[in-house]
Amino acid sequence: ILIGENIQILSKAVSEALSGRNAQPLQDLAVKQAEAGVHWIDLNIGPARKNPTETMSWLVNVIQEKVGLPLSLDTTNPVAMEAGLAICRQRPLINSAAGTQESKDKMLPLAKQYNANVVISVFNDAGIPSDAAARAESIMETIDYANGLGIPNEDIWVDPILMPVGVGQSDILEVVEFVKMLPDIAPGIKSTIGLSNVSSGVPLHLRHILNRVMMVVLDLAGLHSAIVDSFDKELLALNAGEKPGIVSIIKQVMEGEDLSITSMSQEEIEYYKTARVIMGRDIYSPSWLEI
Amino acid sequence: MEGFLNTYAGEIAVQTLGPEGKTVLLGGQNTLPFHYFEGSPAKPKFALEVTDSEPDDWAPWLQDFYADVKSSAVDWAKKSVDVFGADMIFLNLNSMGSDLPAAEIAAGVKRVAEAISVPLIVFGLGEKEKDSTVLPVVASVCSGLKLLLGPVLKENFQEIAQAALDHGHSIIAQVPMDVNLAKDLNIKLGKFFPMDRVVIDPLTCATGYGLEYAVSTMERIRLSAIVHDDKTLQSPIIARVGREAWKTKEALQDANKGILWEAVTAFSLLLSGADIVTLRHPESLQRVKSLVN
Ligand code: B12
Ligand code: SF4
Repeated sequence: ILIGENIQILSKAVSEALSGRNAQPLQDLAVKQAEAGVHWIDLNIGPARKNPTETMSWLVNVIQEKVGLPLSLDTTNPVAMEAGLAICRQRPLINSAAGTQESKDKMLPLAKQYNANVVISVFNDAGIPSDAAARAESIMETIDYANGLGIPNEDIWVDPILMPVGVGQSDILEVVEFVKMLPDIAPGIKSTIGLSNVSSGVPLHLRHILNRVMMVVLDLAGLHSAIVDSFDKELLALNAGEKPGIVSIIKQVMEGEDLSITSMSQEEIEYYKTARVIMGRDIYSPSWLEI
Repeated sequence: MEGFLNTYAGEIAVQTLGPEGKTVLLGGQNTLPFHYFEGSPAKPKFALEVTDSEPDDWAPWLQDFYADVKSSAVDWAKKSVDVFGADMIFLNLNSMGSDLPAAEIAAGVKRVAEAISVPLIVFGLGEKEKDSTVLPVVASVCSGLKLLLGPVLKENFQEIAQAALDHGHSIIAQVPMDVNLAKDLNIKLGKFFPMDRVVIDPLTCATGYGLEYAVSTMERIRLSAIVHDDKTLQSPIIARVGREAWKTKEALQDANKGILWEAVTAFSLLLSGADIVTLRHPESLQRVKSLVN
């Protein structure tokens, strides 16, 4: 399952259209993402401190006018979240709740109240857990709490929180390990991830291949969904199973194989080198494709 | 016992610093720091720091200690070698803070290099523009003296490394405590510069001031080089301890605390993989040397 991330407050065009209540560019973005083949549309309006209710309601309405896909409401502001949940035609996704007390008090109850799916991240009051086990401990505690509120595992999408490769390369393997653990520690649970985080801080022209390889690795580890750049055609193609050769190379690297690149195409070599970095076989550097 | 010992795939290439007759060998180890039981670790090198103009920014105790020589970089450097037993001299180009022309600064460097019987490390201000104007001049004026020249940054490595290449010097590649950036700068340098003339400066700091961060970065660099045989990180490491240790509030309060701070920091960084430590007081040099030998 792919959730399109391109309606994102950090983008100048989106924030201007939003503050100017200019529906056209936002609707175009939603339609183009749907045509690209993603399954959900994420609406990221950030903290939305200025009139949160009106902003979210306006946005959800104008998007639902043009696109029939279910919506992921992406804000840290519970007031804005609630405004959106109330008017979603399809069952929405709350993006996101977490293990912090504040989130348990203000965000999680909304999932029960509006019978919505809810992303729960491993983040808690102690911060981001440092490895797979700490992530499991944190998420199990929050899942129990959510189950206590009447929210079933099937409605919970766990977010392991992915660190940028340049900040926490070794943490990537912890995320993969944690994703593999999910069916055992919380049967029926779903999962998602902010895929582009893995390549934040990386030179722009090199970000896509890192995101694509990360998606394939997490998919093979059992990840249910990912929040992605809808306009990365190759990522969509990989997800649709149109590049089995590339996926098999990545799978072999995951299984610890060392492959010879002599018979590989330039594209395969780049995917192979990137998979070795994602799987921690080579230390990351911005020039990883040049050695 | 053998069952517990490891042999490692990677090693650090040997580097010779200094001209004929006053060379020092750097690197050459095929195991982790001080793992004599598992291979041949490199012998650490101790450099004493000197400034090419009055060390006004140094702790008062140090300025008193070197009162007799601090106005002449040549006398100071010779004394640090002949009397205090430095393996190398680390010359801070403080004069780059004044408007002394580059040619004069370079001439001063040459006088020091020729006056001492050990290799000379020459270090700029760490400001990319000033360094890239002065250090190439130093490189050419001191052609053939096989200096260790730096800092080379990702913003100015082209000019300085090219001058070092043309005139036979080694270079110090400096990165802000980050293994990924260290690897990246080495890859960029490796495209035109011989990797056995590169030393990494990971911008280490003093005990109590985030030392763990310096230690973890250095360990990751050295583990990738030795255990994982990552060719792009197989460089010796230099830890510039003097400046960071003697600017702490502890060292500024009390000379003996300063010596202890410098010694403890240097020893910790040697354990983490430093091949050269640069110090400002001979007493801390002697203490760490006795610990290490
Ligand atoms: C001010 C500050 C700086 C100043 C320090 C000026 C100085 N030396 O006086 C400057 C801008 C130079 C700086 C640089 C760096 N900093 Co800084 N810095 C801080 C900050 C915001 C406040 C620290 C402070 O002043 N505390 C109040 C004083 C009174 O207490 P103090 O502990 O005695 O402060 C001393 C130390 O903190 C030290 N110091 C400050 N930063 C760092 C970083 C490292 C690695 C080391 C060894 C020492 C050190 O300098 C202070 C005075 O001596 C902290 C974040 C925080 N809120 O604590 C980050 C922080 C300590 N810095 C950090 C980092 C990563 C760095 C850099 C490595 C950044 C980089 N990649 O280049 C460099 C390292 C410089 C060096 N060699 O020490 C991280 C350390 C993470 C870690 N796991 O250790 C922190 C925690 C920020 C963060 N959240 O990532 N930093
Ligand atoms: S204090 Fe350190 S971590 Fe914070 S922004 Fe500055 S350099 Fe970065």
